[in-house]
Amino acid sequence: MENFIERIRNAFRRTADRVTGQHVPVHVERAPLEDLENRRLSVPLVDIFDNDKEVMIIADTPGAFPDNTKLHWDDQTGLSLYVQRGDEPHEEWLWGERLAGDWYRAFSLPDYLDANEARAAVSSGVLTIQIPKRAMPAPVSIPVTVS
Amino acid sequence: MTTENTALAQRHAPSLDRAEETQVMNITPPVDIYENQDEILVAADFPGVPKDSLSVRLDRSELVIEGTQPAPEGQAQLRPVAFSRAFRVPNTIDPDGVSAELSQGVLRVHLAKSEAAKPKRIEVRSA
Repeated sequence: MENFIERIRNAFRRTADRVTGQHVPVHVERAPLEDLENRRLSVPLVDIFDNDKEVMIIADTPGAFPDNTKLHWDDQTGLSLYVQRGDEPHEEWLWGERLAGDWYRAFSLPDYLDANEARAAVSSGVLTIQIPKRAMPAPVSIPVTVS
Repeated sequence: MTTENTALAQRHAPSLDRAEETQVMNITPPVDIYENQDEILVAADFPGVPKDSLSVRLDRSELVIEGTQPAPEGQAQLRPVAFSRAFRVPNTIDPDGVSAELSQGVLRVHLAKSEAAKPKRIEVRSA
């Protein structure tokens, strides 16, 4: 029963998010990312927005889809995104500009962000990550007595 | 959802000049070009471009690819990005053999070579 309610809740959450195109969810995993030492890596451009309830990161990662996209986080390295693009299936290339490497970028995770509740989705090669903010105690106004 | 603060905007850099607010940001998309004996393939990065804003045109021997990535919702000061690039196409390409597909933000244009341009094996007869 609980599993059923959780699935409905997730479905509402997904449709309430940005509704341009088909957004396919990407799993966010709490684990350090594997060692990327010998891979050719490119840094995707991002926009980062925030409001009272969450921080949203939008990254241009053309070629990304759920099966080749990894989102990992841990307390040491923060949040990392990694898209393993693979080469075009064509033998001879005449001209190459599209950094034919994998996409990789990492972000620090300040205390007020709850990465456990982070959600991510990919659509048309654009990766959107939403990280909710933890409820912080409200600012307290301290009265000053003047004698 | 309202996004009050823009902490970083690399994809849709806001314009510094107020008068430019409604204009678009023109970007030349990076491309890879491949060739084999059947076709020339142009692969271009068009992330976040909806299919209805995409245009692929072959005008005589010029191939023009264009598309617009809309600015994120709720961000009035960020400009949409207009991708545009043009190429000279050799006359070995069959104009009826051009097709394009958009997948995961990558546009691939297939330019099929005309029969006359394909490598041919020539039979040698013994006299």
